[in-house]
Amino acid sequence: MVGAVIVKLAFAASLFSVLCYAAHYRNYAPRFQVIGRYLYFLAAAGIVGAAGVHIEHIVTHQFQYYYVWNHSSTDLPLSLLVSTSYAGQEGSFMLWAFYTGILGIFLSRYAMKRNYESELMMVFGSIFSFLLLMLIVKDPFAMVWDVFPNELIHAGALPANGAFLWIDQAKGLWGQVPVEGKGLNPLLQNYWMVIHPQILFIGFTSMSVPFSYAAAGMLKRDYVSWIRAAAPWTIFGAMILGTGIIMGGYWAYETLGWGGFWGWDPVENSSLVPWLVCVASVHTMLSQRRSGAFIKTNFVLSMLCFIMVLYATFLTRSGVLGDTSVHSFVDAGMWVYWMLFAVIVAYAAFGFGLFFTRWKEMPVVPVEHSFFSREFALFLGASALVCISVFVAIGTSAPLITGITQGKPSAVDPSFYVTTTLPLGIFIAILMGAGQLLWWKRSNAKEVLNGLLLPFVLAALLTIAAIVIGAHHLPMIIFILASSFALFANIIIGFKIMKGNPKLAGGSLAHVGIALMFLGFVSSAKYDEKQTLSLEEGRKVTSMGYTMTYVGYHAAERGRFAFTVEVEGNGRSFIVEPVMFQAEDMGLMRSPDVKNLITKDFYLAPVSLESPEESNEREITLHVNETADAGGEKVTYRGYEFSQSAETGNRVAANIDVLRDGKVIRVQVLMLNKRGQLQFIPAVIPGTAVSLAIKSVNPNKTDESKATLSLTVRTPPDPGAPKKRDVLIVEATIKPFINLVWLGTFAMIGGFLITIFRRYQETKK
Amino acid sequence: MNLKIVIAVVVIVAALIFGAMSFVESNVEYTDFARAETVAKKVQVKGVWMKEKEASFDASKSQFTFIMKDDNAKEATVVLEGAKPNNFDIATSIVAKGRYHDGAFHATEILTKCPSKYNGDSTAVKKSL
Repeated sequence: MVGAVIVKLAFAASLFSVLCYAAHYRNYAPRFQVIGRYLYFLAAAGIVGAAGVHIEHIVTHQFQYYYVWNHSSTDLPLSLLVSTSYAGQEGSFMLWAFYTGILGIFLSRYAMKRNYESELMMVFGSIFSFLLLMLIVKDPFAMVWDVFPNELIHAGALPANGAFLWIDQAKGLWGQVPVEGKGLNPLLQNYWMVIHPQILFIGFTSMSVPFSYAAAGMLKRDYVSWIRAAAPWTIFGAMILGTGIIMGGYWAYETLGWGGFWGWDPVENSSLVPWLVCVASVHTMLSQRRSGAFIKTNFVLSMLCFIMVLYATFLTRSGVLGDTSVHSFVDAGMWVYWMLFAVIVAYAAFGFGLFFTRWKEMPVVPVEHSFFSREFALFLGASALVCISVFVAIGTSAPLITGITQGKPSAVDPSFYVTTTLPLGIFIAILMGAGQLLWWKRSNAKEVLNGLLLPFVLAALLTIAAIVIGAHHLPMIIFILASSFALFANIIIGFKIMKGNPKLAGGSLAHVGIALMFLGFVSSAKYDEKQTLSLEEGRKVTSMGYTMTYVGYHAAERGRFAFTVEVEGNGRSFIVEPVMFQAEDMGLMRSPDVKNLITKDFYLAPVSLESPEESNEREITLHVNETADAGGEKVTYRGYEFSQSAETGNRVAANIDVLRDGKVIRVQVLMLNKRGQLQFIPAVIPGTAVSLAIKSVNPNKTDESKATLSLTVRTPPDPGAPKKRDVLIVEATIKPFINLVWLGTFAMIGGFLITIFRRYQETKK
Repeated sequence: MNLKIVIAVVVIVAALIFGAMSFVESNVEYTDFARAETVAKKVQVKGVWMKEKEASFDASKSQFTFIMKDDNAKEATVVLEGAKPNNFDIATSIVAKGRYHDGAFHATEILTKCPSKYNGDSTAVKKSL
């Protein structure tokens, strides 16, 4: 209750803050700016307080709140309880609003010093207001009996034991409090859940800064210098969102067992699209600062960063993707659907409306079109990035598009993304290498070609080495050549810059990182080796140069089982322990184990544990009144009874007579069909170890004498037969040079950090 | 300048055609088994797993074989390249993506549609009292 009130107050404060800032922008008294600022701080304090209340509800297990009941349970450790606060739809909007509120405090201080506060904060504050409004619609503080009034709201006598809360004491209405929650999705019960969503939402929040700056620049009629202030934030956004994306990939690879770090899943794609746009805008911003060109492009790209975040949210949260993703997207309801849709339209209309009204005022600086200019290379690179983002966005929207054109939503095959992005990736890699060697404005062609020679020779040598160890597809070889060219060109230039002024080496370092990642993508995803193996307990199995022995399983934390496999190969021996467990709502869950061997990963994903049947199974088919032998017993089929009820569904009871010691014993075997869920209930013949179960009932409407019953007869195993052992079925994968991806990620983050520092210092000049 | 615009337009149009062609080619059509038998293209079929009929996992080939009934009640043997998917036992419906050849539907991927945790919660809430 308290939380919901705080959210509403924060929303009001945030909305009035926007109005006050707007009033100041409209040349009302300067005090409006001060009021707006304090109202914003109040709203930010509100979301921090609301988040605190929300987390407190979860940590103290207050299951009278629907969110807490729906996502949490008492058996979770503290770190997971805190992450439960953003596991659900409502909670993730709250996390987003939380980071937006906090980022805005820093942003308002930053903008104040640069005389941009009112314009910037009225736009940014409106985004914060929208998120707070989302929290009013998707209320994380709803009571559980608001959702289940029939089950939980009672009147009259109070329970002798068990928790309850008064709803209306005058009328004697009270709500029953559940004693346990439904628990956190087992896929999310993992330390990555603690860190990954936080990074990703800081990234999403950061994407609203370039949008706000672009709109503020247009409001202020400042078409040039806003770039200087917006650049460090945009680079920060690119760094943090990029880190979040890779982290998600590592989570999928290491724990969820997707087999790779990238599956072109809508959830992954939807954060990749704004990231690509953001990276493109980082490059065109740089270009505008050097040459003055790309004024309009920068407005468009900066606005698109945020609009793409909204679009991504719409795609993944509104339920439009339906059945087409492995992620089960909860249908959030019409309210969320239309609000997300309306907010995309509103921000696009506002941003682009402003853009077209200011169009004629914007100065025009022609782009340098010489092929040997860095500016032109940046232009091409940014275009290629935008082009990839368009392809990815279209592919991800396929269910939406085909839903309209074909009437049935269907997704594109992941090969679509590879086909469309590979040529552009090659193009980008070439530009990353060549662009570093080009000067602003115009370079001397001969000089450039001389500079290209050394990196090109080194790249060719590396590519030949790659072919020797196994690369053989022509497009991949070209990609390797282009990527290693980018790698060496940036290393060479990076060293030269480093000797002069290390602060300027950020770009080279980030490009080295991207080139390393490109190489890692090819080696680990295209040239991996995979084998499905049956590991019988205690027996050595050799495959792909490794000898594996399954030695048994043991219980791990929270009802999970770890399966120990000893591995020997290449002069090393180590143990991997993939995990499997039965989750209540979700069936069998599997989690791989990875051993990092520097030049490759040994990746072992469990498939299943086959325990050999300790009994013999046989099938018999009987007509009515027919007698047959079942495990030494004489059984006769006496027909079946059919009944229907809401409680049990459709119930078929087959009557079997067993002749034992001159007496007839009647046993009943059951088949239940409850809403399509079939269940077979066997029966044991009294005094024996023989059990019978229905396999199928085959009625015959025209001739009842032809109707049959098929039974499964189970008898105890033959005591003389050797005991069979468990067989662990696994999928073993060797992922060559996957460390390049992680190494590249660190280099990229390092490069971004250096660049942020440099661009931030420049804003102070 | 004109030449540059022409080149730019050509590049953009080429990219669009390339993208559209890849899109159409890789768009996995939603259909049923009857049509899947007649086309060579990768398609997806929605239906239910016939649990009472035989299903098996062949560890040596890493293939999971089962019988599936599509929405038009036509049954077909489905051979999945891989193990039995997570959630398969509790799925209320499944979507198989693949090609029909040699008398069976060879699936490369199976999506499971599970009874949502968010529907039919009234039984869940009763359990947690």
